[in-house]
Order: sequence, then structure tokens, then C-alpha cells
Amino acid sequence: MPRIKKLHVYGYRGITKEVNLPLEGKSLILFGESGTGKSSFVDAIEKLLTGKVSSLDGYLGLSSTRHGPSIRVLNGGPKIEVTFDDGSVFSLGGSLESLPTPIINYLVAAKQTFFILRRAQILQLIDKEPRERGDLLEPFLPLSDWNEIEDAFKQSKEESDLKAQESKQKLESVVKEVSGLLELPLLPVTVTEDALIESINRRLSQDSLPTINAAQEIQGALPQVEQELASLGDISAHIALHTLSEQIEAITPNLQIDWLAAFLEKIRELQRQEQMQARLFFEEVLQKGLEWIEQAKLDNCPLCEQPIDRLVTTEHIQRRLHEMEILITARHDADTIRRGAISNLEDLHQKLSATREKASSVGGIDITNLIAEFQTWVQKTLAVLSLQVSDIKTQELEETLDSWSSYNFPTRFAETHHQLKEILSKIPAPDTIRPLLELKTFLSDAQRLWQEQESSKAHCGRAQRISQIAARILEHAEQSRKEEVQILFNQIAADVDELYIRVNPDESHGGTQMEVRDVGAFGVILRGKFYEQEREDQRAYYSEAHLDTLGLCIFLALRRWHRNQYPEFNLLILDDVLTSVDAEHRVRFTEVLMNEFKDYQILLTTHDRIWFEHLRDIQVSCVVSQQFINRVIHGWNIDEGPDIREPQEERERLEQLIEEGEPSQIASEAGRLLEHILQEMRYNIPLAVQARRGERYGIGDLWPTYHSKIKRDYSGFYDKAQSTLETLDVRWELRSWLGAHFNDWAKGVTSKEAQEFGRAVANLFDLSFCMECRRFIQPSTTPEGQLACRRGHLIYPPSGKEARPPKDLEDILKTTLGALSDTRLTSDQYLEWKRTEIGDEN
Amino acid sequence: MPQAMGEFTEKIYERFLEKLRGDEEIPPSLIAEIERLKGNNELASSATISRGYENWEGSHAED
Repeated sequence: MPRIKKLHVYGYRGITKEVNLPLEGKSLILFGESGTGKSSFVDAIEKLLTGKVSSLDGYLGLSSTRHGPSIRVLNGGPKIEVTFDDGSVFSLGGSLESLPTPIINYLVAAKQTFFILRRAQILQLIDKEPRERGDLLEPFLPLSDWNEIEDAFKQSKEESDLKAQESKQKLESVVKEVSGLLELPLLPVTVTEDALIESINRRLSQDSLPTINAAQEIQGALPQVEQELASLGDISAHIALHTLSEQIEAITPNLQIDWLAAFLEKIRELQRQEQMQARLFFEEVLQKGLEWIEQAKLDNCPLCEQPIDRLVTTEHIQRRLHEMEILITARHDADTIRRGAISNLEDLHQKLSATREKASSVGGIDITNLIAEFQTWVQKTLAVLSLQVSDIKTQELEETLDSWSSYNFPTRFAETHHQLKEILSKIPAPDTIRPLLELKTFLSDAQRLWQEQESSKAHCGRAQRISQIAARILEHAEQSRKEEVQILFNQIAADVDELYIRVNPDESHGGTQMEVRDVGAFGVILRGKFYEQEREDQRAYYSEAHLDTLGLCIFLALRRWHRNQYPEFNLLILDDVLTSVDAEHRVRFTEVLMNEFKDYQILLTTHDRIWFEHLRDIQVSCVVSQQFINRVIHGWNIDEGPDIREPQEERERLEQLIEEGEPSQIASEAGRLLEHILQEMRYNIPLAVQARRGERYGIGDLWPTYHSKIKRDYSGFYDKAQSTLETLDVRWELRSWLGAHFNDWAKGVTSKEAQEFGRAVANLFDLSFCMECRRFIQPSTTPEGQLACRRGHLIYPPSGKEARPPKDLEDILKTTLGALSDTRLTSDQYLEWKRTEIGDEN
Repeated sequence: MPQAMGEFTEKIYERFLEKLRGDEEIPPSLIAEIERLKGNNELASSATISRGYENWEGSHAED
């Protein structure tokens, strides 16, 4: 399983110069005072693994790309790189291609969830409205595949609704035509076969022709009419002209385009209304919200859980719904006109093509140009109308209307029709020809329209069935998703509860429930138990610390659930999250973390020095100290960035510089190490110094107090270190002259003086830092005035007294008990820890 | 959706199928059509779903 061996950062956030944070595949506790760059390492990892930084991206005007790079890095840009324990390296902007599969899986999983919790985010999972909580939780849920499927069902349902609506409109249009032909009143139902037959038989009887009994017999009636016409001699020229005349007559109703002007007006009105509506309204949510508020007489909004004035809110919602209704109706009306016009124009185009064909076969009259022009206009108008209502441009509609006027089609068609009638009247023909021709046309139209109606009816029925079934299937898809997510949330909530109860034992809390809201967008309601109050919003009763631990437990439960899905990805980062939690809960939470999440690579930062020491103890008590590295950020400045060097590394470097370095180099390195020694001893002795903003103390602040306190209270150590301390008392200011703030006085400093300063600092380090315990000496409880490391490797009894190294557990306990006094731990608990620690070390 | 569905998606799908089977209004031939689409990893395409509905209506409307 991949683990990070090293994090290399250059020029990102507060990290100015190249820094290697060694993790060696272990978990890391990183301590640093506020403003020393702890979070810069967290930001760098987040940027590298996810491409963003949650404390920057998403906030108005901030971005990790723009504000991520260090302001002191001018060239080359930032560099962030992790080296994994198998030697694989992944850099910012790098490709996954050449990496081994486990590393790719690790990096892919890192992008799919959040694995970092910052202090500011702890309460986000609690102190949010259900919808926002849903947004926060959604990245944890592997719903992307199902969302694609559900979207496809939804889209398909919308398409089938549209088709059903179109087929209904088409059917209505055909029914209108059939009713007109048969001279029947227009009813909201289709024309029946009986009504059709009755109407046809009436016409057949007028011409003494045999009647029919079924619609399918119309075809058989036509030859009888043709036979009657044939008995009148050669009337082909008359029939051709008559047909053409009828076709042109059929076009005449289409020469009224009032609908186009009305449509243009509708579009203008719609666009005006849409401009007025600056916001989108969610009709279903509003409807449901209104129902709930009215029926349940709620005083809190069921959607956002905020207090509401019921009357004002319902009135507001009703007004919004009314506005929505107007807008939706207007859009629907415009679309109905558009679809109807398209259907009519397409029919007209077909009629024109048929008329054009007929006109070309009739000599003497040239109307093909007129029809061609009309067809061009129809095609252009169809192109304008083919766009969705919201995309149609009023200017194009206005141009279509203008061109209609300039073509002057109604007058030209009327003149042509008149000409045809005149020609027809001059051709000699028997009186009986006209009614027979009209009957033939009537029968042909009746047959065609009947077939069209039946076909449209069948098509409409199919479309309606598909639409209904698609809606039902979508409903099942949505419900299945909600139910399965609820089951998952029940599991996660049980895990949250288990973790929470371990952090808060013997308290009548817990019973955490995460409920998927059943209406509107994905939302999650969070509830819990507080004494006899079941299913309550925890914010109503829990203390700040309880809410903090609840937020932490929710995060851990989600992280653990996600880890089950992506076992390769084991990183867990907690950035200074325990600050506002009291010591007792903090210890329990850390124990849970170290016991339950020991197979994770944890990065935990803290700015609390005492807590940092406690964390080291808890590692021992949980028998995980071998899995942790504890690092200190000693300081930060804008030019250097965070200083994470270990004191012993500085000691080695100083030794090297004393041999071959320049005076300024020696003074700088010696000053840095002296500062580290004094910072550590400030906590251990402890030193009383005048408070400074940001708790940043330099050698000048610490040395005089340190020196006098050692001289006064720790005589044994003073005797051992006297010459070193006296040298340093004279030389410590070289750090300022040469190392930090070069000035004219520094010109006179010789190599010998710098080396003397360096050797004194090195000596003080050797006397104060135990390489075995890897800690600085601290006061023993007894005898008073004794300084020693934890196990007694370095020991300085007061003058005239015997050294008392810790012999047993109680001694070790006493040695460090003082530091733990404010954690509210019992002696039993602490003693148990120490027992384990000794056992572990042995 | 180019790959096979994940475990969680499979769970939702199974629940979904259960609901379809328990709904008298949903014809078995349509459920079979949905299962066929799922088998071909085509459930995430609205075009194939719409075609599936058309196919079902065209050939199995008697269900």
C-alpha cells in the first residue's frame, strides 16, 4: 500500500525555499507556533493531489493558482512533489502515465473525496442547511455512475413528454380538418367511423351512387365516380384545370399569416417577462414547501430549517408560484404556436410541391415561379421557427413578415385562381361534370384524412404510453437511489455514533441520524439524541466541544467509508483541528484516531506545544510510536520560509562551519541553534519572559532570563556549563551582528571570536540535548534543582547533592507529571500509559 | 459509462429492478429491454433508452 516517503515543496504558500518534509512512510505530527507555515505543507499536499486548495479555491476572488505560489518566488514557479515508499515520484502538473498501478489508484482516489479537515471546516458538516450539507457529502458518495443513468432516464422522459405533446397537437389538427370536411361540429374527440360513413353516404346518395358500410369501402366508391365521369367523354383537360384550381383554392387559407404577427408579439412579451424574472424558481420545491408549511403549521422552513413567519412566507411563495405560472404558460403558448406553425408550413410545402407538379402539366398557365417563390419563403420561415422559443430572434421574425408583404402572395394567388376559373368557364363541358368532380375530391380527401386521423390516433396513444411509462421508471430510479443512499447513511451514522460515544463516554448523547430529504435537490438532515430528546437538531443542545467532536467523528466515519472503497488511498490530514476541544475530549479523540486509524498515514498539525508533547505520550500509550515522526517548525520568515531542521542536524552543520566557514556563517548557524535551545528550554524550565505578540521570542528575549535562572536555580548544571555560559553571555550578540542583522561592528569580528561563539553553542547543546531520549533536559521533581533527561542519561544534580536518576515508573511519572497537569487526566490513566511506554521501550 | 458499474451503483440498480418488477404497470418485456441495455452498458444514454422504449412499444405493446 503506497505511503508518502517525502514531501518536497518549493515556492508554495509560506514555503519560500526548498523544503523536504521527511515522512519515511510514517504518520507525522507537525508542531509549529501560529504563522510558522504548518498549513502551507497541508495546502501543498492538497494542491498536488487534488489540484486545488480548499482554503483558497471557491472563495470569491481567491484561487490556488493565483494566490498559491509564494510571493517571494519570482522565477521557476512553485514545485511540489511527493516521493512514495516505492520510489515513485509525482510532481505538480505531472502525468500519471508512467506510474505503477497502486500509485495511480492512490492519486485517482485522492481526487474523489476530501481527506483533509481544517479547523474552519469542522462545523461545516453540522452548521449547514440540508442542501449545502448534501453538496458537502456528495463527493463522498460514489454516485457519479448512477447519476449518469438517472440523467439519461430523466432526459428520455422529457423527450417522450415532448413527443407525446407533439403527437397530440398533430391529432388535434387532423381532427379539425376531418370535421371541417365532413361539416361536423368540432369536438375534443376524434371523428367516429359512423359519423364519417353517414356524411359520405349523404353525398353518394345525392348522386344516386351506392352507399358504403365501412371506412375501408371508400376506396371502392371512387371507381364508381370515375366510371360516371368516363361516360361523359374526353374531359381530361377540364379535370386537370379543375384539379389545379382546387389545389390553389386549398392553398388560399394559408395565405393568411396573422398567426406570425401574433407569434412575434408573444415572443416579445415572453422575452420581456423573462428579463423581469432574474431568478429561477423551483416549482416543485415551492409547492411542497407551501404544502408543508400550511398543513403542518411549521415555524421553521422544512427545506432550510430556518425560522420563518408562516404567513409572510406562504404569501411570498404563492406570489412566486403565480409568477412562475405566468411565465411557464407564456412559454408554453409560444411553443404551441411555433410547433403548430411548423406542422402547417410543412403541410403547405407539400401542397405547393403537388400544385407545382400539376401546374407544369397544364399548358397555358405559368404559375410555377409564383409557387417556387412561395416555397422559398416557407423554407426560410421554417428555418426561423426551428429554433427553441428562447433562441428565436425577434429581428428575424420581423424580416420574415416584411418579406411576406413584399412578395404580395395573397393578391398574386387570387389573380391566378381567377384566371384559371375564366379558362375553365370557356371549356365546354356537361353540367354534371362539376358535382362529380367535387364528389371525387371529397371522397379522396375523406379517405386520406380518415387514414391520417387513425394513424395519428395510434401514434398519439403510443407516445402517451411511452411518456407515462418513462415517468414511472424515472420515479423508481430516483426512489431507488434515495433509499440506497439512506441505507449507506445509516451505516455511516452508526459509525459516527460509535466514534462519538468513544470520544464522549458516559454522556447521554449520540444517536446520530443522517436522513436523505425526500423532496427537491439532494439534501441531508442531521439529527441526534440529547438525554430524553430523540431526533433533535444537535445544534440546539450540544456544547461547542461536543459539536466539534461530532464534526470530527462525521469526517472520520466518512473518510473510513471512502477508504473501504479505495483501500490504496490511506492519507488522512487533520490541520490544527483540536484547538477548540478541551483536553479530556482531545485525548480521547486522539486515542481513537491512533487506535482505529493506525493503518492510515496521518498528518496532524498543532500549534499547541504542550499538546504536542502529549501527542507523543499518546503515541506510546497506543503502541504506535514507531509509526510516527514528530517534527517541530522552529520558526518562519518571509525570506526563508518554515525552519524544520532538527536541532541535531543544526549541531552537525555548526561543527562543519566551525572548521571551514566564514565568521558570518558560523554566527548565523550558532545563533539559530542557540535560539532553538532557548525555545525548548523556555517550555522545560520554564522561563518567564515578557509577552510578545505571536509568541515569537528571539535570543535577546530569552538569553538573559535563561542565564540568570540557570545560575540561580540549577547549580549543578551551572557548574558544568559555567565557562560555556559565560562565553555565550559575552558572545550571543554576534548572532545579531553577523548572522541576522549585519552592521559595521561586525567588520571587526574575527574568525576566532565567531568560532568561540560556535563552540560554546555546540557545548551548550551537548549538555542540554539527550541523543538517546531525543529530548532536552528538564527539571526533576526531586531533588529540587536537578535537571535531567527523561531516562537519566544526562543528569545534573544540584551542588552538594546526589544525582537521582529515575529508577522506576513512579520516578519517570514524577519527572514529567508537571507538564501534564492541565490535561485533566487521572494519575491512574497516566501511570498506565507510562507502564506501557516502559514496556514498549524495553 | 465506459466501464462496468461500481458496487454501489449495482446496489441501486438491483433495488431499481426490484421496484420495476413489483410495479404492475411496467411490462416484463420493458424490464427485459432495460436489462439488455444494462448488459450492454448503454443505460447512461438517453438516446438508447428512448430507442428501447420505442422498441418495446413497437413490438411488445400487448404486454
